[in-house]
Amino acid sequence: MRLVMDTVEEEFVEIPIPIPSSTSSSSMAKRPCPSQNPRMELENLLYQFLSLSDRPSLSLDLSFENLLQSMPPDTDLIDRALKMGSLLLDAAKHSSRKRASNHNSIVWPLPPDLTFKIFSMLDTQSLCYVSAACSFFSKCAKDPLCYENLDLTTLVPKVNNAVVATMIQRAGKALRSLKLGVVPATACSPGFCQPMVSTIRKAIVEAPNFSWNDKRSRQGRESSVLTRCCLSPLSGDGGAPGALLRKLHLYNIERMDSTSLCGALSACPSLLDLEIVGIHVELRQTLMSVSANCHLIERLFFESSRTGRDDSLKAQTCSELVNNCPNLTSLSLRGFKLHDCKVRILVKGFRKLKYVDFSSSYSITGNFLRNLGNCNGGNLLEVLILRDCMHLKEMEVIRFLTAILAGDFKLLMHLDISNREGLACEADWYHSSNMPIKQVLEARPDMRLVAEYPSEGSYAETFDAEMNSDISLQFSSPTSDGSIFMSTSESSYNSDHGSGNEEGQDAVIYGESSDEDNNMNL
Amino acid sequence: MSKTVKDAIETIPTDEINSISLSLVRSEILTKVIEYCKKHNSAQMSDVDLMDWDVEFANVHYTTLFDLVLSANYMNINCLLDLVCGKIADMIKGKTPGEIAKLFDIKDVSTYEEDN
Repeated sequence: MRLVMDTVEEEFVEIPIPIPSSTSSSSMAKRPCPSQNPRMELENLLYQFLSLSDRPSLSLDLSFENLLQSMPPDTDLIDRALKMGSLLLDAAKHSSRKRASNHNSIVWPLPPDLTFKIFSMLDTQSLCYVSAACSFFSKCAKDPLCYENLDLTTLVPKVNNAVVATMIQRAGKALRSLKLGVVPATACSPGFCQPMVSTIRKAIVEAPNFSWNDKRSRQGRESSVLTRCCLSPLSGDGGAPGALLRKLHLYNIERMDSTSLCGALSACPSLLDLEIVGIHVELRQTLMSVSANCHLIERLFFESSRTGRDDSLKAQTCSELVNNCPNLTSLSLRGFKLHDCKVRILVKGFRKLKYVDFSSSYSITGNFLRNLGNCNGGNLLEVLILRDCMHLKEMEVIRFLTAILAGDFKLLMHLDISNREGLACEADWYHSSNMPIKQVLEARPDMRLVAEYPSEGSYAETFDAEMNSDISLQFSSPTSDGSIFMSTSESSYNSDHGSGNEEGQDAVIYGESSDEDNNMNL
Repeated sequence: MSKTVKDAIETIPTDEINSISLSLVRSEILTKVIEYCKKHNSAQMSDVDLMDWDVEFANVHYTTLFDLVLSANYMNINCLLDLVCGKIADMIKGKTPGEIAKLFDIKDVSTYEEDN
């Protein structure tokens, strides 16, 4: 070994110290003469070696090979070269990192706690992006406070179970709100143009207990679909993430079923706001799970994935829900088959109920509205939406409006009884001039009344598919004044329902058969 | 408005107050902080106008924003702190990691493994 060192030293002695050339951008300044200190000697050697990089005709491999050939055959020079080369590489990387970190701490002078504060104001997607920008941000972005409100909704299926699990785990018991699923473009806010998962991947690939890469190599292909157990992390870790969860919004998760949803709900006793849209779950089972687990709930928004076909709701479920969830103030059940008697239990029973939306419901005729104004449950109503209820009877609506004129429902601010097919009644649908809409508008100027109906003017011969509702409702027709409305709303018009008298008659009489079932006084 | 100042005033007997030292705050930043406090205490403007004024106030280079954050934190003025942090958060929103790094002149060290 001693022999080798001497040889190396001799080599160095022969090589002249390079003069910094004007073309070299990384030319090194001359160092002062080293002392006999061994550490300084090493640094000097290092300096001399690195100065070689300035040489235009440097061929390190050739020199090394020549050196090797001049050595005895049992020399370990190659191993040494590998070792030293590796050490030097590591040292350079380490120092580079250190300098970059120092630089970053100057350009970003905020301490971690202030950085958390800023990050906690970011939406989930931005949080993932910022986390990928540098390692300091990545550390800060792992603070649970940043994950308090998780919004993992996307335009198309992109987020999978693993992502959800990681986010929930990071939030831990700080989790307060979770939105998950696929929200179509029309409902989505602008700015969601970039795919989220690829950045999430980069951002969370350092997590030590996260088996993303393992999963990929096993399956050979990433799955970007949420499966039925995507919410099981809420129950994990002793139920900590779900324990304080207040808001849960789920959209269009194809593979979720009643069992898995009910399992998730059982982990969320503090839930205040539950929104379920387009999930293939049964109404009755879900409401039973809510009444069993989520006693604090204040808002329930449930939109069926199979409009009009879920007929599962039973009276007992309604009673249990009313008894177990007394804090409910907002109830929306859209697209289900609801019967007046059961609906009545709900609307009468919830003492604090203010907001009711039964749009696109089948079977309810409006019978449940009778005598509602003078009892506990109905009088507090502020918003009532019965849009596009297939079997809603004009007669019941008239009765209801009359009750309003008589002074009931004093707190009602917003009433929507629009129906793109017109209300069910005995005679022709366009005789809705019986409805005291004008009187109500005069008597209650504080109230917003939305009552859009197909107007008489939109007959088949003048109507075509491209016409939108704005145009059709401007037809002035002496007999029809059903198209008074306070707000200019959407309702894109279906040409099938805009045809003439005869078909109109057929369309409205279907409500008759369900009369007997609903003629119960509760 | 500044809890730090308030605490200082409360703890020192009134006849001894000549100056309260705010050693960590630079003078130009202190000027801006004072401007903010005066505006918010005057109650002359409506809420909407005040919000617009806040937006204008926070519309400065991010280095100034950092100084404001640190000063507001030191002086314990929560509404100013929220305003400026929110502004920085808005600057981050909607950007890719590369754009964020570029904006704040941050060097990427994440490609290397962590030192232990």
